[in-house]
Amino acid sequence: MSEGINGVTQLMLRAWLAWRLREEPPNSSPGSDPRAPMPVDRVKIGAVQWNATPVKRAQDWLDRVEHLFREAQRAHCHLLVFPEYIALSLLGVIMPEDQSAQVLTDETIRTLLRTLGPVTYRYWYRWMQWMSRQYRMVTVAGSALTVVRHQLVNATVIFNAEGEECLWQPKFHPMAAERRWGVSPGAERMARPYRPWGLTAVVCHDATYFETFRMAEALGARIVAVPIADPEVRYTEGKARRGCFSRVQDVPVIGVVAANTGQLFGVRLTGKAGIYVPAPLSFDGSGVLAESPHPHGEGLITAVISLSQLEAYRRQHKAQFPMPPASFLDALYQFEEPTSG
Amino acid sequence: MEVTTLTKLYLTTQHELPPPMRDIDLAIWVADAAAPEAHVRSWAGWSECHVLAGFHESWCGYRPNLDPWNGTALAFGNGYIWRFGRHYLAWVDHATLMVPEVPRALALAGVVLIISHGEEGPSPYVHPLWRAVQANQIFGLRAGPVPSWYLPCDIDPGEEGVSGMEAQAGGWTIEFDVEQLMEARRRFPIHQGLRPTLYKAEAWWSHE
Repeated sequence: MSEGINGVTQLMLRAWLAWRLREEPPNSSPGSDPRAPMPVDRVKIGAVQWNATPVKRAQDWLDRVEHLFREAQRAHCHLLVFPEYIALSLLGVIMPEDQSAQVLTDETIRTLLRTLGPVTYRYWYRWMQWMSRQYRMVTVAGSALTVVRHQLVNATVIFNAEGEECLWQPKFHPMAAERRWGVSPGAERMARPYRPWGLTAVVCHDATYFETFRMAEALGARIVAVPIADPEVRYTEGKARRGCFSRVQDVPVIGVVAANTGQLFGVRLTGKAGIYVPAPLSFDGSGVLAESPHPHGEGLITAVISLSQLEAYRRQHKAQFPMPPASFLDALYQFEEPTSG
Repeated sequence: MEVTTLTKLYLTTQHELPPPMRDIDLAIWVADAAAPEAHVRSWAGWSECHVLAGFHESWCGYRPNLDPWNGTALAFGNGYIWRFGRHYLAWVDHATLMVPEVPRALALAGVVLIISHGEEGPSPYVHPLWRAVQANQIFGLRAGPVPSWYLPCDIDPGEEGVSGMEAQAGGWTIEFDVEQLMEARRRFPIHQGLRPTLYKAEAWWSHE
């Protein structure tokens, strides 16, 4: 598939994928425990580490997602976070697993993502919404590709425990490879965080920029979920720590990373699910409340965070390290944004 | 003074500036008391290179082009900035580094090395200088009793963004190449991804 893909082929691929992803109910249903009241201070968070390997059947993907919901329910989580590009594993239902992104031209990848991304998005959205309602859990669904106003964007969604969409947020800072593959930076304003916790979600590379966390914090965010899919061949703590972990030290909020790992059509992904806090709020000063033991594989990590403890620390931090004046910040961001794709 | 892209830096925390060393382009002297300029000048060899000396939280340099950055819109916190060949270096105190806008502004203005002080803590990653280095693809020198050299993960063979310095004659040395920063920025272009239009629309700062 290294040649360009014509319009007829695109239509056929889209129809074939839609057929393979036609509605199939999950194999099992959750327990019917009455919904526990939503906590306002101590929130138990679950973060997913996902194996990106493409699936042969949509049902396999759904079963794995539901298994993680069930695990989170058993652990009494109030919030569950899935990783970036979790929906791309669904492309395995029509594409061979050994199809390698390295042998495809950027143009072909761009066409494939634009043609098939929205089909996986619809499936992902529908079932994440269904699961969050069935398991009565606030869910950061990870991210998927969709087309908005003719632009391909990588968007994350938060569903509340009733399965209603309460936040939709495109990635603001796509990586260079994503831009080559046609992913546009989100043109929207930042979404308002979900109350009562001040929960927001930003996608992967957005967490490289402290500005993202400043914007979120100013809108009232106190928990920032970061679905990631890091295209790194080798996991190193240094590279991993320069994202969400660093941002919660810069801007005192809670950071939750859900990581997509493994081989996705020849792209090696590494990363760990983690729950991070400003270093003084962790008992050992490390800033890490919970983290996956390995940078590959699938599973769930959990931790309880305290919003009142965070608020007390934030007051102290603000007094000690005040924000620069408006004149400084106006001058800092006076340059023009690059317009190239 | 002609400065090549490869720079040899010497750091000492001795009470007295040790005898001059050869082939040093930049010397950082963390003195525990204000050193008279004449003291530095008396060491003829040291006058051949940039020497930045400091005590407690005030720093003074023995080169005419060391300037505090007051008087501009981007002046915030405590620090100094000075020209070094075709680039700029800065010294910033620990509290100022905790405000991530400051290293962002310095890096965008052409600063390639930020020097600060303090202990490393339980891991290098919680030190604000390490974060400033990674967020802006610059170099960082933590001038503590046991110093650390921070560099972008993308040009560190270990990808951890931290390196020890070589012990030498009452201090430590490290060689760095500013051109390597260009390679780091090519591999992981952070500044090109900035969204000033979005940041201004969402301005987290107030004009009141």
